[in-house]
Amino acid sequence: MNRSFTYRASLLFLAALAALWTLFPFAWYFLVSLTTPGHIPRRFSFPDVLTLDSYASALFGSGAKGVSANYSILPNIFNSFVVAGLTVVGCTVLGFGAAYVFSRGRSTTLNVLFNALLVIRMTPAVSLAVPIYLMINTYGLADTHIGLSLVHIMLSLPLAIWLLKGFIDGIPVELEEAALIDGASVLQVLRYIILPLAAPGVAVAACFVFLASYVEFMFASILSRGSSDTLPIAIAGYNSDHQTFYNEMAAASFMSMIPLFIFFYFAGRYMVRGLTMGAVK
Amino acid sequence: MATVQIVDVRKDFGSVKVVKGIDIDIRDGEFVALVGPSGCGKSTLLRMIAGLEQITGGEIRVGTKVVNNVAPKDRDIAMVFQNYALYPHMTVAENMAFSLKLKGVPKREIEQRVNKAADILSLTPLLGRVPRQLSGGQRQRVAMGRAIVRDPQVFLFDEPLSNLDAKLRVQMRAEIKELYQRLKTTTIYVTHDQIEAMTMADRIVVMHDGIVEQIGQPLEIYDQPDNMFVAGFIGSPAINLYPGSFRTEDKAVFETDGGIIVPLERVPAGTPRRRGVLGIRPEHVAIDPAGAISLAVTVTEPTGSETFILGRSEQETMRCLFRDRVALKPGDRVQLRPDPNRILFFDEETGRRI
Ligand SMILES: Nc1ncnc2c1ncn2[C@@H]1O[C@H](COP(=O)(O)OP(=O)(O)OP(=O)(O)O)[C@@H](O)[C@H]1O
Ligand SMILES: [Mg+2]
Repeated sequence: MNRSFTYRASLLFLAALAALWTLFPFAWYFLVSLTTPGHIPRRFSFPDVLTLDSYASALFGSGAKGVSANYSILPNIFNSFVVAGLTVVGCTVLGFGAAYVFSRGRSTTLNVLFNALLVIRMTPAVSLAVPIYLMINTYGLADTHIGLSLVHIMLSLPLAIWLLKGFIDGIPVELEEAALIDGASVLQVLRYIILPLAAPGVAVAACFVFLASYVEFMFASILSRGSSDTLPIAIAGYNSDHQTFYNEMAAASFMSMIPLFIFFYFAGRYMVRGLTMGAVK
Repeated sequence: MATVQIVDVRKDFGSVKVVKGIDIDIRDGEFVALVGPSGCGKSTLLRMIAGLEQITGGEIRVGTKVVNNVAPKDRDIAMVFQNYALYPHMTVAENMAFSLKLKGVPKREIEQRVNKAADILSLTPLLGRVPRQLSGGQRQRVAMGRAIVRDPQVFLFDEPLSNLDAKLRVQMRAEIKELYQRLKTTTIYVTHDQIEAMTMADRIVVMHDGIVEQIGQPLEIYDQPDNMFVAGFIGSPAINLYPGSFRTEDKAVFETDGGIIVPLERVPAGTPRRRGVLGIRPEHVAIDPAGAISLAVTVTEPTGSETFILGRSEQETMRCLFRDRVALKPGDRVQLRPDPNRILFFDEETGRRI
C-alpha cells in the first residue's frame, strides 16, 4: 500500500468527521452531566462550574429536595441486570435449540417458519404494545422481572436464532456424524460438539440480546409500576411534570453505560478466544 | 470383530433410487474394498452400514444382529471420513478419548488405550495438539486413532486417502494395511483408487449405478471380469475393447469393426451369435515380428519401469504397456501379438463375458 499523502489525509479527515458527528451529542451531554442546573451550556462550550454532584445524586439519591429528583438509580441497575440476564438466558437456550433445528432440518415448513420469524421482527414493536400489555396483565406479570423479560425474549429471540443459525451452519455435519458413530446421543452431540464450536456465536448473541433488553424503553414503560423499573425508565423519570433534571439524567445515562462496557469487554474476549479455538477445518 | 451381511439393501432419496438392491456377505475379519465410479452409491451404502442413513429396503446384519433400526451409537462400528471430521476444539488425545469417555470407561484405562493407539500410529508427540496444528497425514492418522481406540466390531473407511498427496497416499496405504494385519478387524473400505483396492483388499466389490457388478478377489476380478463394465473399470491403463465379429471360414478369427484381425485358437464356446466384443489388456500384447496386429505408434510414454504406447492399427486405437524398455518412437510401425490365453470376449448386448 503506497497511497499518496493527500489520499490518506482525506480518508483520515472523513473518519474524523464521522466520529465527530456521532460523538458530538455525547460530548455535549457529558458536559451537562458534569455541571449544575444553572450552568448548562446552550451551545457547545465548557460550563463554568464542573462538579460530580449529579453523579452522586443519581447514585445515592442525595440531591437536595426540589433541586434534585432525589432517588437512587441503584435498584434500577439491579432490575435492568435481572431482566437482561433472564432475557439472555432465555434467548440463548431457546435460540440455540431452535437455531440447531433450523440449521440442520431440511423441510419447507422449517424454511417458512424461519422466514416468518424474521418477518415478524419487522413489524413495528408499538403495534404489539396493546396485546402484550393485556396478556402480561392477565397473567399478573406486570411489574415483575419475569414479565418484562418474557417480552424481551420474544423481541430478541428471532435475532438470536438468526445469529446462532449462522454459526451452526458453519459447523460441518460430519463432525456430528463422527460423534454419533463415536457413541454420542443427540443431546451429547449438542453438548460436546455443537455448543463448544458455536460458543463464539452464543457470546455474540448474548451481547446483542443483553444490549437490546438493557436499553429497551417502550415495553419497560408500559409494564412499569415502580418496583421492577429498569434503567431507561429511571432515566426518563428525571423528566417529571414539573421539572426536568438534566444533570442527573445525563449522569445516570453515562453511568448506565459502564456495566455495558464491562459486559462487552468480557464477552468480547470470550468471542476472540472462541474464534481462535474454533477454526472448523 | 463380526461378519457383515448386506441383504438386498436399497436406498431411495425421494423418488431417486440410489442403491438398488445390493447383496454382500462379508466374513469376520475380512478387508473388503468398495470401488465404482463417482455417484454409484458407495458412500451411501457405507453410511447405511454406519447408521447415518436410513435403509429404504433390505437388511443389514452385523454379527447376527439386524441393525436396520439400531442407532449409530449402538452399532459398535467406527468410521473414518474423507475429510477426517476431527473435533477441532479437542486435542488429539481428547479426539481419541471421546468415544471412550462417552462410554464411561475409567480415566486410567482411557489413558492407556489412547497411549497405545498413539504409539501404534506414532502420534505420541502430537497428543497435546489440536487438529489445525497437524498436517494432512497426521490428521489422517488421528482419524484412524480415533477409530482404533474403540476396538470396534467393524471399521468403515470412506475414501480416507483422497485428500493426501500421491506420496503420502502410498505411505498411508501401507500403514492402513499394516494396521489391518495387526488388528484383523472386519473392514469396509470405499475408494475410487483401484490400486488401493487391488493392493489392500481381500475382496473387491465393484459397484455401478447402485448395483454390484462383481465381487471377487482382486486378481480374479482383474483376470476374469464378469462383464465389460468391470473389465473397463479395473485396470490402468484401461483395457482395449473392440466390437466385431467371429469368423470361422477357414481359420477361426475375430475381426473388429475397425479392421483388426486376431487369430483365435477356437471360437469361445456358447457364443450365441457371431457378434462379440474383444477385450485386450494393454499389458497382454507382446512385440513379435510374426504378430497379427500391425501398430503405427502415435504416442510413447516411458516412465522408467514401464513403457506405455498408444498407436493405431487399421481403424482402431490401441493402448499397450510393456514392462521393459522398448525403443519405439512415434511414427514407427511394430507387429504385436495378443496373448491368446488372456484375451477376453464379451456379449455385445448384455456385456457379460463369454
Ligand atoms: N442426501 C441425498 N439426497 C439426494 N441424493 C443424494 C443424497 N446423498 C447422495 N445422493 C445421491 O446418491 C448418489 C450416490 O451418492 P454417493 O455419495 O453414495 O456416491 P459415491 O459412490 O460415494 O460417489 P463418490 O465416489 O463421488 O463419493 C449420487 O447420485 C448422489 O447425488
Ligand atoms: Mg463418496
